[in-house]
This record gives sequence, C-alpha cells and structure tokens, in this order.
Amino acid sequence: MARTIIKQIFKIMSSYKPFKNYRNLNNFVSKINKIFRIALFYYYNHNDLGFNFASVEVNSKWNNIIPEQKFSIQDFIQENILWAVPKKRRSLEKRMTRKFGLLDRHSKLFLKQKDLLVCIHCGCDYKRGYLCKNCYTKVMDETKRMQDRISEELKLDPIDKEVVVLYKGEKDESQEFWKDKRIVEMPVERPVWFSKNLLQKSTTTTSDTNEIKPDNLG
Amino acid sequence: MQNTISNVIKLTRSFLSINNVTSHPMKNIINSSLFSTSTINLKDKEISHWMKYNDIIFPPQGPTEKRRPAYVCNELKNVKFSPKKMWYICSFIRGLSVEEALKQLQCIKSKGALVLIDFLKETIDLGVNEHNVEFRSNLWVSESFCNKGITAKGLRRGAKKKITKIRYRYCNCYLKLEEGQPPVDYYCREAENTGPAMLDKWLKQIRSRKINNSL
Repeated sequence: MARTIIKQIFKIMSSYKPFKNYRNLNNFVSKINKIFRIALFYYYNHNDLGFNFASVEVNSKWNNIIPEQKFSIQDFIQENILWAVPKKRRSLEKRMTRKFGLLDRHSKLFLKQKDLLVCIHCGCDYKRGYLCKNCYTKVMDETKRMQDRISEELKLDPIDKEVVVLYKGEKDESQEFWKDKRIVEMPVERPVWFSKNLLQKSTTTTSDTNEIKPDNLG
Repeated sequence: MQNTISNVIKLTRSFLSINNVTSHPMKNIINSSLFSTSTINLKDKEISHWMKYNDIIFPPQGPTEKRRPAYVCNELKNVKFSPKKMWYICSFIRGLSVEEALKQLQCIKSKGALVLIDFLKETIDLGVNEHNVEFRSNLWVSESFCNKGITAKGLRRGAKKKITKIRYRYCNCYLKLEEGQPPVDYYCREAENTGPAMLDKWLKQIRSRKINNSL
C-alpha cells in the first residue's frame, strides 16, 4: 500500500524542478514533504502519511566544508574541558554560609562562652580547665627573676652541687644545713603566695657511702 | 552668643508646640540647623551624626510616665582593622551587659576585641562623667556596629612583574550604652533551644519529608 503511494508521488516529483536548482538540500526535502501532503489529500483524503523525509548533506558545494582533523588528546583537554571554572552561580544560601556560617555546624560568629569562672585567689576571670591568666603571669614573672639571678650566680660553672634559692632573711639558719648546697640569694623578700614547701623534694635519699649501686636492674 | 540664644529659644518653642512633641527630638536639632549634616569629611568643629544623639534634650516627662533610661553614644574613628572582621566582634557584644561584654571580649583572640575593650571602658567613663549615668555596671550595649573608615592604598609586586594594589583598611566603631538590665535574649537564640520549640522544629522537618515519585 505504502509502495504504491510512494511510486505515484515520485512520478509527480520527477516532473518537478530538478535538485540542482535548490540551494539547500533541506529546501528540497521540505518541498517534497509538502508535495506528499497535497498528494495524499488528493488521493486518499488524509494528510498524514505517518512519516516525513529528512536529509543530511555530506559533501555539497554550498555547505562549509569542515576539514577532517585527527583526534588528539592534548587538544581535547585544552579545548573541550573547562578547567577551574564555575559550573553554576553560587546560591544566596551558600554565600551567606561563607559569610556568617551555620550556627549548628560551622559558626563564624563569636558565641558567648559559658564556662568562665572567678579565680578565688585574685578575683579575675578564668576559663574552666585553664589557668587563671593573672595568677599565671605573676608566677611566670617570679620564675623569670629567679632564673636570671641563678644564671648571674652560677654563670658557666658545672652544676655538681644542689642549687637552692633563698630569699632575703632566710640564710640566717644554721650553716650546716646549707653545707652541700650552692646558695643563690634573691634581693627581695619572699612573696606571700610562694611557700617554702613548694621546692621541697618529696623523696630525699641520704647515703654515707660513696659507692653507687645500679638500680632498675632486669 | 546671640545666635545660640535664638536657636535655644527656637528649640524650646518647638518642644512646647503640639506638633513637635510627637516627633523624634532629634529632628528638632537637624531642622534648627545648629549643626551641619555632612557625614564623610568632617571639619574641625563639626560633630558627626552619631555623637549628636548625646546632645538631644528631651522634653520633661510627666509624673506618671516611666523614667527614660540614660544612654551614652560614642564613636571610634579610623581604627586600623578591617570592617568585615570588626563586624563579628561588634555584633557579638550586642545585648550584653557591659561587665559581661568586657569579660567575654577578653577571651576573644582578635585585635578588634582589644580595641573594643578600651573603647567600651571609655564610653562607660563618658556616660558616668557627662551623661548622667548613675552606676557604672548598670549599663548594657544596646547598639554596637561598625562601618568602613579611610582606605589607604599601596602596591605590591607579584609574580612575573605583576603589580597589584593593596588596601589598608580602617573601620569606625560606634557604641550606644543604655542604663538598666539587658534584655533576656537579644538574638532570640535561647528561645530555639527550649523543649517545645525543638519538638515543633523536629515535627516540621518530619512532616515535610517526601517519597519521590509518589502520588
């Protein structure tokens, strides 16, 4: 059935203008499609054949001839892949998270610290789990002064004796006590918060012999 | 002298008249042209708009009216710190009592925090000395914000002889301290963390779920 239709229509086409006069194959094909419809309507009282002609030009005078190129990976990478380029516009939500952060996850805002306590010694605020800054700086300054005084006294001598730091008015005790020890005197009185017990050694061994026994064997 | 007297008379007249009592007292100052209203480049005797709030004279209050709390405005111009960074610190202390703000700012590791500590202390002194604030510790930060100050420009050599501009940014900080107790929750963050509120939020999330490709 379809064959007969097509044969009859081609007869009509053959009497029509030759292909050479058409600039474009597409124009010719659209004309064919039109003719089909007219013919069908004339012969069979319905427009639609159920298909249309389509065309693809391969080598034609009137098309721009694209020279065939060899496929090179380097060119492909340079031209056909976009490097480091945004694919989509950043949404407002994303921009705001970068600016202010998300409170639940990555908060860029400063949040009130709820674990600040009051130091009982000096009255300043300190963070729970950390040392009170005021007290610590006080201690640091005193240790620095002691260290300076010690380095002044000892200079570059080897340390063969125990070194003891005494404050003003503490050296008046019996001389025997300080026999084996090297004394460093501080010119100031002992600060109130620095008790003597702090530098007292908890484990002291006194020996009369000169022999040394090795310990922690096997 | 005559000019100031005439202006004062104008002000009092405007306050007594019915029309101007309802409008904001600040408008009287601006309309009476006691001060010029240039904002960016102030000359020697000009006062910026923020500090003008200190000079408002409110009409006397009636016997039944609630006492208007004292406030103090202060500004710090051209601090060598980026305004974008300063924003975080300024927004941090909003709604806190002054003592709390000082305590919290000490824990922040930022140059802006150090700047704000000194600035806060200055404003407190200003309030107590000049603006009728009764107790130093009875203040809270009602307004704190910053904007950009001057921007100095420099050059910097980059790779392959490329010269780029550097911007040395400065910011202006503004503070308004009010007398009284601070509000319970300035940013309303605590309200989200109550049991009923969290439940509602969870329910909303659960109910907004969708099975894809379903009816």
